[in-house]
Amino acid sequence: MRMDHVDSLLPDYLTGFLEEELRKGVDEHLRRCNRCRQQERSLREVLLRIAQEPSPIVPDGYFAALLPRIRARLEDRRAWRPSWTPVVARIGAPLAVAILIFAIALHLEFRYPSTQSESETNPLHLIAKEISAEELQRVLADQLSRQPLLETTVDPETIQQQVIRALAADLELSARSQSPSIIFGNGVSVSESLNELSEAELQTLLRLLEERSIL
Amino acid sequence: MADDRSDLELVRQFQAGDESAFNQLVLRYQEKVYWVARRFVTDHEGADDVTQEVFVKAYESLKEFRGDSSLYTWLYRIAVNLALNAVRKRKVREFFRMDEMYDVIDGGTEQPDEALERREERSLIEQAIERLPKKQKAVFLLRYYEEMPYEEIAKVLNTSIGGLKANYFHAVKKIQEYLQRAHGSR
Ligand SMILES: [Zn+2]
Repeated sequence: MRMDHVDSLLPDYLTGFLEEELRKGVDEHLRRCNRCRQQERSLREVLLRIAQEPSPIVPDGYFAALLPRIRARLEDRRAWRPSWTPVVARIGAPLAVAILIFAIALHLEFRYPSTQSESETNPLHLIAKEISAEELQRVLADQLSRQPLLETTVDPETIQQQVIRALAADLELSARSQSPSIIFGNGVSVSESLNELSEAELQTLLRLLEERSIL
Repeated sequence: MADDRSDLELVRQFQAGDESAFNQLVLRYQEKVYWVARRFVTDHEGADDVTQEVFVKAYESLKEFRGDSSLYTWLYRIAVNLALNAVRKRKVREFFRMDEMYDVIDGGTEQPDEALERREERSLIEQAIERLPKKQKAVFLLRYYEEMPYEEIAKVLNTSIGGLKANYFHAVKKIQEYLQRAHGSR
């Protein structure tokens, strides 16, 4: 059996999940190919380490008590929905995004007092303007280190754009879950902040939403 | 607590108004759903929340469940999506927390950052998995821990089967490289 290098078969090979025929093919290839043999050795080592990781601990009796808790959450959700639904129906999930953006903006404005009136009307603009490139780079680096969804770059201006995009992506996803427990900074949930917003603030948010095409 | 009814029978009975059929489905799948969530979000509290949300969501959407895919695949898809969401939400929270940390540094007052400390305690393997790109992470967790066939993984992730083996290989490779770097820097 003629094969190219067998990289992508190695994890299954090493964990015993290859069917007989493929396994023989890999055996055969490894006998002939020094490169893949080395690859196999290093993957074997890491898979062994992963296998040696202790299993996460689940609190005693957790599963026995889970069904009643799920039932209770369903009840809560039903009891809670009527007061929340009209707001949601009126403004929709994007509001959650707007609130999150708004919260970030307020948060940043608090930290970096703005001198430009223009930036006060557009939170995203404010984010872009008021944070130093250095700081943005740290934020981005932090995002990248956990989930490299973005390309790395050293240009400060594009870093600003990227952070905004990364945040927008994060927030959009959170909002789409439509969960009442969307949480942002300081543990305040969206549903809580909905109640705290005045009608004027809601109007402002809606206007900002319309102005921004990225959302 | 043996129940011979098939998944689909239970779904049909629930759709016809039998609440106890839903309970059976929860009992049947709660551990599987929990473990998927736990692998993705790593801490128990987060996994518990995701697990509950999966069944709340299932409860609300089961009325539209047609049985095109197996219930198992359907639940896994909800679980993976909600778990990935939970991880993303946490990133937003950490963005704020990191901000607060700078404040502390600026102000010169020493204050231990709990989140950071907790992160330090995590094993290198966990850290390495956490850093994987989303798709590689999902493929790795479903294949390695759930031992799921590639056909199922493709359905759960709503993607084609081609390339999944390569995703799996690259995930393991990246974990290996991360461990290597971590040891090198000590
Ligand atoms: Zn080879």
